[in-house]
Amino acid sequence: MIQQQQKQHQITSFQLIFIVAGIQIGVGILSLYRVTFEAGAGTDAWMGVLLAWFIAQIAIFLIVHLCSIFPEDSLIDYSSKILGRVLGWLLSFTVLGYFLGAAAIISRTFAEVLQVWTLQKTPIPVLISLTLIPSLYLILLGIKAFARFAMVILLLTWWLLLTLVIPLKQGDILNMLPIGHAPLPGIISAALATSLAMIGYELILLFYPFIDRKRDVLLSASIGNGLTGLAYIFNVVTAAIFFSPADVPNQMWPSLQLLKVIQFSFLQRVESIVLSFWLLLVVVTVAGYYWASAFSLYKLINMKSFKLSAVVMAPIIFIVSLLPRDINQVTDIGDKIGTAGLILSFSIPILLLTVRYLKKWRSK
Amino acid sequence: MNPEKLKELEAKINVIHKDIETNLLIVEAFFQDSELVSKRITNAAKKKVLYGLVYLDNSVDNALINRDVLKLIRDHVTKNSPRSQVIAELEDSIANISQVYSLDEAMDFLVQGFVIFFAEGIDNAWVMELRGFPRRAIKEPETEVQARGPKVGFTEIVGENMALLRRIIKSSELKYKTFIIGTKSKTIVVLAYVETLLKDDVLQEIEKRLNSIKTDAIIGSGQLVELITDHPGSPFHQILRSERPDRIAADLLEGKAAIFVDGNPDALILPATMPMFFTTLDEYNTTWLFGSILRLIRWGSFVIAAFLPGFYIAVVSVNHEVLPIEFLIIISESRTKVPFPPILEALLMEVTIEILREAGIRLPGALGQTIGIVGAIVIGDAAIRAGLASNIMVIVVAVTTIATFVLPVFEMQLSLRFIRFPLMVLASMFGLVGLFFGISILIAHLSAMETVGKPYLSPIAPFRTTEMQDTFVRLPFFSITKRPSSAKDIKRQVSNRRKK
Repeated sequence: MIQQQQKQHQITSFQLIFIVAGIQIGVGILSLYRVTFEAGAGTDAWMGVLLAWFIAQIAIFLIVHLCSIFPEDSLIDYSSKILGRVLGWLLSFTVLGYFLGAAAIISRTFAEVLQVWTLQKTPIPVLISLTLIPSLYLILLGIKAFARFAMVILLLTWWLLLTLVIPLKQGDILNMLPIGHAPLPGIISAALATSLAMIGYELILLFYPFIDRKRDVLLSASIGNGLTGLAYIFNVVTAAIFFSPADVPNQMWPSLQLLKVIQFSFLQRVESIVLSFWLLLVVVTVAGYYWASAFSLYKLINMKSFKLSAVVMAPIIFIVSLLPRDINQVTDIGDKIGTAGLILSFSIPILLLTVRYLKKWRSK
Repeated sequence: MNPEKLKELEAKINVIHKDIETNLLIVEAFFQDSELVSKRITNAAKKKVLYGLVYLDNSVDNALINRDVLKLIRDHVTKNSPRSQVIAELEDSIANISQVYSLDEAMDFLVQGFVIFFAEGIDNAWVMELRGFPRRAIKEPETEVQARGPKVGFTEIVGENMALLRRIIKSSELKYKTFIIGTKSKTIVVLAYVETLLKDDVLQEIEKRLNSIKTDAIIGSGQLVELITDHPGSPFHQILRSERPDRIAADLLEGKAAIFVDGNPDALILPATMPMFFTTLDEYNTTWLFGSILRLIRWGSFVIAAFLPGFYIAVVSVNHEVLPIEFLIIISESRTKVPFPPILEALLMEVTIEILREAGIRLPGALGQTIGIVGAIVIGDAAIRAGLASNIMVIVVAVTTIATFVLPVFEMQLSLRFIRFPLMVLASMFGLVGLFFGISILIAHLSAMETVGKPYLSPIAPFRTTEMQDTFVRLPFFSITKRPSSAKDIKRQVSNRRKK
């Protein structure tokens, strides 16, 4: 029994910080400033990101509260316990579809970025496999390996934030002024537009039973979310200072454009190197969603082994990621997936908690 | 020996017979056509065999047998002393003597180089350790040279190695457990550990693995590594081998176990983690400042040795944009005469270097150096002049090779030589993205590996702040107050006049 529990508790709550941050930081940050700028926040985009951070924090509260009721079960297990078989199955299926879509769209978006920036002649399917193959390998190795992987990658990549100091120095603070001119609706819609960049914390719904110290989960998830929030705000503020407002709509991926100004006598186009480095972070994100979708499938139809469902999932994600026709559609679907993530991470806890409360109330 | 006779004899070896002649004949039958010596000691009338001595020639020290055994028995036989007196005196005069109760057991001792002593009319025998076989002097291991510290290395005799280790850890907490592995080789395998530091579950797991081995023979300790390792297919070794007693002692004191294999001048340390392959005792034998610098140099060399060729190929064949135009001109000028794509050029040079290195190892000292000079300078220079390789590529390959040699453990050098090639191929296909694709798989592989339950990347992932003090850097001894978390007792006593 003890051994079984030990076997199940494979992630430490400390590692959860890096899992949450690692899954959150993926492709969303690359276009973050343009997206929030265009959503209506203008140069006050950082307020939108701040708001999004708070929204994510509230979602984390709700999710962890829901999970703490069933500490040894995942969402797939208890959704049918609360909602009944049919509705529970329907919810789990929706969630599965969402995870699948997120994994697919993130790897596709990154493939598009790669094609535009460095590998123009490489076909998209090959570029997608560049993130899918390591993800498949990683989740086949188990969730423990995934947690350690996320940790190593975050330790290897945090210094990339420091490179932003150079564009910050070269920018002009006037670009960002006046502060606070954006209307409140603009900031709110900017916050919603950030959702693709912020999602990732909802995977706690599935990770929760694997974490060893449940009482630290809320703290760890919040720290992870906080790190992401800080990184995003730093990124957005730098971008706001660096770009003149008129120029922003022309920048598809402002975060990469920022790095273009960094030059050494022996190295230029640093963004090319950073983008390749970014592959590691995208692998964490894709592997997270890939794991979630494979795990949901495994639980949902009672598959024999998790590995089998991971292998079954690979071609499905690959095909789904090829469905969008062009980069515009990819961006559109990406936004929709982000919105779906936001809606799900609020509706699932609220729905399940309410139904559970009503049931209890009725049985009294 | 024919099967029927063997069967007949095997039925008789679970006891010691009272009749001495039967015993001797059975042992002689088993050891027919070998170096067995069986001596029958008769009474003065030369009629009755009273005592028997059996041993393998050249495995025992003849001078010791003459002086301590034969002379004693001879004296008593002439004096017609009673048997019990002979035995009692013999037991007193030999340091390592014990009783055995079956021929089977006695023969197991015999092949280890013991002398069997039979007495007429007694149904047990004695085995005496009077071993003497060719041995070499204790020297500093050539593969693990250190700038400072003891110039002592293990030898091929397991007992000597145990003694060398005991000289460093003079405590009853140092335990040795002996295993005999191999149905034919009967190799002595000794598990050494510090009782209060090695975790019980790790000890049990190692014992379980050693006990479950069924094989004909263990000759090299590398064979044992493959039999007990967790991931035999991995390009990284999870069991560290060292020929230095000081290193083994240091690791035992961190809560590891060591395994000696008789006939091998090294010990296996497990569970080993990746950072352990970057340490030597040199860092501990100097001040922490220089110790830390040495560590950082090694990790830096690891990065260079693993990724530099891949990075160069990526930049030259795909990601031209990352180099400034002046730099690019230098590279393309050097490559104008080269007819191959960069990856082929790199593989050509890397494979040449690997061949040269392999050739150098087998050749005796002076000749090995000549090969190095001929290979590196003559072939390298000629290749550039002939236009088969660019000089920048030669620089890259040379730097990579030298960086590989910085790593103190041979096994890690092998791993590096191996992982370089797939990374180079990926880099030539997808540039830097391909390189990082390879790195992501590499990191995934490393983070999944565990040795006897201990994560391979520990203390990097899972992250342990206290252990980080002794991973990439080595902080002063007085600030390292914790042992690695894999030890049973992690509190380390340190204090000096500054810190109590």
